[in-house]
Amino acid sequence: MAGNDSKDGRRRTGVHNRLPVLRAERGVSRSELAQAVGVNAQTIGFVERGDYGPSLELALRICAYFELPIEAVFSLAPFVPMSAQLYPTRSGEPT
Amino acid sequence: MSTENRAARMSRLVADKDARVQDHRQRPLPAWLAGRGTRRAIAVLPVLPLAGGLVAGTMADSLARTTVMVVVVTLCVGLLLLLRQASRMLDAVPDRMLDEREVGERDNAHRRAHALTVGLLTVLVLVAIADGVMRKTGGSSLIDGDGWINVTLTAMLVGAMMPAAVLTWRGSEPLDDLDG
Repeated sequence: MAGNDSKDGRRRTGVHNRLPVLRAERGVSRSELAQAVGVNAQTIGFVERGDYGPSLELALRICAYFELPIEAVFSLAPFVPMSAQLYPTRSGEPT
Repeated sequence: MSTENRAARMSRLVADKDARVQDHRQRPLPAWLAGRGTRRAIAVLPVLPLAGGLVAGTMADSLARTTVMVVVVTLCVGLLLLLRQASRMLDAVPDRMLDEREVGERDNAHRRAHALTVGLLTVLVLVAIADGVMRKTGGSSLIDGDGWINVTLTAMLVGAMMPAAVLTWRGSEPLDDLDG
C-alpha cells in the first residue's frame, strides 16, 4: 500500500479517516471510543494520525459505533473538507 | 475447596493482576522518559553490558572478573526493567492485554530483535573461530577457556533485552491530548 513517512519516521498508511471530526461532532473522547471498540486509546490516536491502518474488523466496529457506512468514515483518497461540502463555491464545485 | 471454587478464584486473581498491569501500562511515561532522544539513548545502552562481558571474557580467572560479571548481570537486570518501562512492557505482557496495533508492533520488534541477535551471535562465532585459529597457530588466545562462559552469558542477557530495546527505539511520542 502506498504510504509516506511521518515526522517520527513511522510509515504512514494510505487510509484516510474522519475520526477527529466525528468525535468532535458527537463529543466523544478517544478513551470512550477506544473502550467502545475494545482497543487502547493510543491506538485511536494512531489511526487518526494515519500512522496505523486499522484491521477490517476494527474499522467496522468503529463504523458501527458511529452508525455510519464505512465509506463515510474511511477512504483511500483524502476527504474533501466538510466546509467545502457544506458551502460549495458559486460554480457549484467544492473548493 | 472444590475445583469450581479454585477455578473461579484463579480467574479472579488473573483478572486482578491484568487490571493492575494494564493500569500501570496506561499511566503516562515519566517526563524524563517521554522524549524521543532520551528513549533512543536508553535503547542503545545494552552495548554497555555487552562490552563489559567481552572485557570480563578477556580477563584472567580472578576476583576482578567475578566482580565485573556481577556488575554486568546487575546492569542487565536494571536495563531490562528500564527498557520495559520505556516500552510500556509491550514485549512482556500476554496477548490478551494487547490490541491489534500493539500485537503488530510487538511482533515487528521481535522480528528486528531476532535479526540483531543473530547478527550478535554471528560476530561471536567469528571471534570464536579467530580465537581458535590464534590458539592453534600462536599459542595465545583472545579469550580464556572459561571466559567464553562470561561472553555467552552476556550475549544471552543482551539478546533477552533486544525486543524491549527495539520497542524503545521505535516508540513514538506519547499522545498528550488523549481526551482531545
